[in-house]
Amino acid sequence: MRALAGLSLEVRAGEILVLAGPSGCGKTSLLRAIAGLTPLDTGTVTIDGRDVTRIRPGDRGVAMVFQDLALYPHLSAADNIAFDLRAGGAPGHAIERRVAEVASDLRLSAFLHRRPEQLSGGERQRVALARALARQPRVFLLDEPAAALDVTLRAAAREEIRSAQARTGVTTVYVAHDPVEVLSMGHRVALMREGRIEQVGTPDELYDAPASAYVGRLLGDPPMNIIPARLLPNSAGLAVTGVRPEHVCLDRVAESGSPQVSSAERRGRDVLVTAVWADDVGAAVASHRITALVRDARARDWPPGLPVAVRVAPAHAHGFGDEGL
Amino acid sequence: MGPAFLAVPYMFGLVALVGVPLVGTAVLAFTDYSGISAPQWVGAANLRAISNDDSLGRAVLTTVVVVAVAVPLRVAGATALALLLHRPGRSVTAARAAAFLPTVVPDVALALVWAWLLNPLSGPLALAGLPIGGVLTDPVGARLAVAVLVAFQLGEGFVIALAWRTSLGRTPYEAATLAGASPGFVLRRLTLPQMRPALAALAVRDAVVVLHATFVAALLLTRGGPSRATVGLPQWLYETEFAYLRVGYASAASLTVLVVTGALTAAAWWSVRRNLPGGAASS
Repeated sequence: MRALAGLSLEVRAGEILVLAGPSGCGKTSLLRAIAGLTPLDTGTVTIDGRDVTRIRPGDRGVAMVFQDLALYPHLSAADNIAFDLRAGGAPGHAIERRVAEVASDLRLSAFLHRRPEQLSGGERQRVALARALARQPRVFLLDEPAAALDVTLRAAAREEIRSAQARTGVTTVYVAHDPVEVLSMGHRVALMREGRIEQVGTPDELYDAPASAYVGRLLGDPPMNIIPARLLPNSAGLAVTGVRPEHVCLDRVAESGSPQVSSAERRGRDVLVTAVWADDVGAAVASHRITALVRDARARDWPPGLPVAVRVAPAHAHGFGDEGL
Repeated sequence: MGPAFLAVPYMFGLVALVGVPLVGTAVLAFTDYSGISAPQWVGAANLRAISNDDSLGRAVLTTVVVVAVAVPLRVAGATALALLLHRPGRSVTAARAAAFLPTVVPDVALALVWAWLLNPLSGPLALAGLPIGGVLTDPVGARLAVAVLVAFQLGEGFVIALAWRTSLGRTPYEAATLAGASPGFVLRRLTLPQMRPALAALAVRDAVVVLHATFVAALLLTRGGPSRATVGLPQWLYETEFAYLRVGYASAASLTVLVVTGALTAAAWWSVRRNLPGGAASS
């Protein structure tokens, strides 16, 4: 089975590149290939201009934070952080100094004598981060490091990682799953699909100008609406059109035969309203639905069946070819 | 009635099969009793005689030597096999079966095969020209032969060590790989420290297993010879009690066995705790 196919990706020195995509799209496989944990059948991995495809993982200067953190359960936090340095044969006093330094950067100094089972989730996550940074790697790989944390701790963990990366300037590849994380973590985002790269760019580029309906739907919450292109003007040659819910306007109207509200649910300050309608396509009847983020709390009380008019500004309609979803 | 009630059948067996005989043994230890005529109270005479009994002393020595050789061989062997064979694979499955197989073979059959292998005249090792002529006729060689035979049946320890090794997570090992840790470093700092509790328990169990297994192995391989050098405590007790009918004296000696067993298991446990790396900061 091939996990990755025809993939080419360049990570710029000193940046955080977020690798994103749904489960099973090859994010972790790509990360493991960079680290050398999974050997490549074909292709090359280059770090700082040096071909490391045949170099052992330990000699690549790569440090990784695993999804399950991979802490050594029988060792104290201090020994966990020092493990990689000891494995590399660094002298004892240098190790102690480096451990103290990294521990104080990550606010771990008070917990150094504790074993992983005696630490909270957030502390464990910082120990894993400290262990990876202690070696001063040339490439820093993170595989959904915040996935194991409570939602409330995730934002703090992301901030911790961003500031540690800014301090050290290490080139970083960050695997993420959650759309918020994808858009907030990195300087650039590489979105993967079935072992290939679908689009690479800054978070703004991917969000504002998705290259495909796939990218449009994956980035953003609530997800982008994908509707047949023929419903909008100027759509010659396009298969579908993507419109983000925040760019859809709904107005109450009195005409029958208009789209109707099917549900309205509160999303913080806004209301997410779903409207449905049908149109005749020759012999068959096609049914459509569109979601709109309405900036008016009163929309919460819109009853199902309420007729509405749907408006989309042409500037916010993203036309896509027929490349499947 | 609490859940402790469920332990009643077990407690009954424990009292009937271990407790009562233990108390009986402790009482008989102070008597002169042949098993036929009524026991006669002799006070501490048996205990005094035991301390001067050379044949018992030799049996204790034999047992200690066999345990001291066989237990480290068994624990180290089981651990080494488990570490070599913990990754799945087709040839690995066959190798695992091979490692376990001697444990399935009945003790008697294994001892007879061993006797044939070591036969100084017609055995394959002798015919191949190996100088094994004196092994079973030399007191030291015979004891070592018994110890190695007993060490061979390490299948259960292998299974325990294998299960323990398999339960250690995969990603910590990958993290160590990325750090460039050498196989020796990983063994000393990651694997052995984490396997320490299992190996300590194995060593204690093996000390008891070896003590008992010596009986069949020595009886069939050397018949206790040469000049009773391979008579261990179980065989000595058996002969004293049932061949010479010195039940009272054997009962007193049994108490010695209890002490020796306790000492050997404690030594096995202590030795593993002391000699295996704990993984702490010392380097």
